[in-house]
Amino acid sequence: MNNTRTPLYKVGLIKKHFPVLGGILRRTKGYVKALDGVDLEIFRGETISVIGESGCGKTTLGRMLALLDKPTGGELSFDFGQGLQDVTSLRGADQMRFRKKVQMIFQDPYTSFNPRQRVGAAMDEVLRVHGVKDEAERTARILEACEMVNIRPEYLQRYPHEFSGGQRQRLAIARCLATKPELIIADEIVSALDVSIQAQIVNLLLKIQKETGLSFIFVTHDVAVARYVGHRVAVMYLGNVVEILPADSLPEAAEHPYTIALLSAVPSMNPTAKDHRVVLQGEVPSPIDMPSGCAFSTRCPAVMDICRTERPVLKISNISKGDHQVACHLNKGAK
Amino acid sequence: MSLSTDQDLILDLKSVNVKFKVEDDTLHILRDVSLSIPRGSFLCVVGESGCGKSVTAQAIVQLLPDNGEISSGDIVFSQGDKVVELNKLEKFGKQMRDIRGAKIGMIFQDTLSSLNPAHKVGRQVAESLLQHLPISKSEARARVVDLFRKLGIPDPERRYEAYPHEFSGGMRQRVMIAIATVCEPDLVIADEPTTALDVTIQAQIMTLLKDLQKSAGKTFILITHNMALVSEVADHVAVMYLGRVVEYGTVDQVLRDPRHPYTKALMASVPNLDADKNVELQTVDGQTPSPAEVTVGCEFAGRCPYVVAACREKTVEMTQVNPGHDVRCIRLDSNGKLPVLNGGA
Repeated sequence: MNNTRTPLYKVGLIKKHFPVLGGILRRTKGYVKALDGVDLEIFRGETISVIGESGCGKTTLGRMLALLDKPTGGELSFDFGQGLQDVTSLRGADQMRFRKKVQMIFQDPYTSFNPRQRVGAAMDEVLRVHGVKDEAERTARILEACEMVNIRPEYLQRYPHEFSGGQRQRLAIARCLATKPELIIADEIVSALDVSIQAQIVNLLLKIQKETGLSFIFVTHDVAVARYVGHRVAVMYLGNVVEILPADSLPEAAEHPYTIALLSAVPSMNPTAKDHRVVLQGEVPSPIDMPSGCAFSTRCPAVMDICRTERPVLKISNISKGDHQVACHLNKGAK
Repeated sequence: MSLSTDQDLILDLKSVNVKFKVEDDTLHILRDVSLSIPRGSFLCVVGESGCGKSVTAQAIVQLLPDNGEISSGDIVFSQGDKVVELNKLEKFGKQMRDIRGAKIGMIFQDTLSSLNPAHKVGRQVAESLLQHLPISKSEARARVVDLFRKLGIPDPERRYEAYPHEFSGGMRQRVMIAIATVCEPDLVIADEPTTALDVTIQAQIMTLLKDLQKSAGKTFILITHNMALVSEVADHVAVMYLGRVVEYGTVDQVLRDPRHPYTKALMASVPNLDADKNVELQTVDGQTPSPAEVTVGCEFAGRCPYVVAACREKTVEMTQVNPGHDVRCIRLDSNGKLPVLNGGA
């Protein structure tokens, strides 16, 4: 991305610490640091894939960006058209204006629709909530959205249980599109689907992205899908973004030892891939007692003394430069 | 590898049919499933949800749900000189119980519901030993601790006393592997053992299973939907679609040179880390039909780009395209190749 452009959405060192209560008095014993200072800029027309293992905070990040949870620190600013504006303090109508611009799709298409409501009515409701008063316009928008996701208009009279998982996920996408958002946050939307259906949804997202120029945040645990869908890929580990890099440059350009290990753990059809595999020992430490210094220092094959005491920050990579940022002491930063 | 009859087969499924009674309906879930598994090999059964891959595993160990039954076919299990037909044994009779767990180990996907939350994990592993072998409790304990150590469970003596909730997902899966292998079975059936785990943990577990096959000579049947995983661990692959094995062969034959249209489509729809990003993923139109829909002819006909009228006429039989490589498709020519589609495919 061009650095002179202003981002659509700027995430400045946001934190989310959940208190851990204990004892009879339910006092705060400590904090689960689900997000511990995440920095991210999302540009118009860009898809960022967020990858990481369970518990790394990728879902929390998605919810935070959609303002479904309040961050405990840091800034979130969104460009409504007149430059970046803080959104964490938005209330009432202003917040609704934000929600219309930033929509979210969830993993489970079975629970994101009301089973007793026809899907057409469910879509209509969203538009009414967002103040589209004219019924004809609402209908037109719904039909337009359905066309984009290849759902026949007569299906709108059906109930959610009459659809397959893939169709329901299409409907969820259509419901999002009808509000004409600028950013869609998709949290593991293809994880529950079979591979042949997953491919349909992935192709659909790419098509929508090309046609509408929307921005997407695509949260997933599947590295190959993330690379395929995203322009840039952000790798998370234990509440931190450890590396952001252009998707095209994966897997070769990965620099952070965690990204390298994660990529090499992905099973591959390529028979030679097994030869240079890094098998990580141990497991992700608990986010309650995080290691001081680099969060990955307890499992890192390239750990140095400085890693255990000082936390590395995201810096532009000194190898591939440009859009590639790494949070690792091995990276000295580009000049 | 050829499938000649003189090969040492540990398990031989011959035209196994499984039917489920659902309300007034009878669903035909497995249709003439035949699989021959050589001793010491690693077979992967792949397919999408509802293709019958888990039912195949359940049928082998006779753990089908109450409404399901093996309606025809034979499942022959051989342990050296002794050959038994598993499907003839009483489901919960002594003979079947002696085999299940001791001779055939099982690993399931959901570890949290497969372990008893109220018992210490060590005891749950030892239980299997005490059930099948005439050994004392302290001997059993020593063997379990030893196995925990081999499986990479840190601090095994202390962990013996822990409860399932104190373990992480990856560690619980190791406990499951311990339960499945503690009696040193010849055959281990693993049903999606790593689906719920992160990729880095999955890599650890798969390395462990592969080591067991190589060092201890155990036979594995791995049931999975992950084609890339198959490519890394399997010797043989069976691809299932709607209750039928549609393609069978070695990994190189099936994954590097797929012949059945479904296998081809399945392979092309998986995004790969090394693939060109600008090539659109191939999709399979429509969705898997329900087993309740009675179909004549090829089950895949409704979604197949190569379909012709003859496909829907009668059941398609397996044909050999290469020694050891069988495909269930009538559209293959005499060289075992699919015709070229108009518009390119």
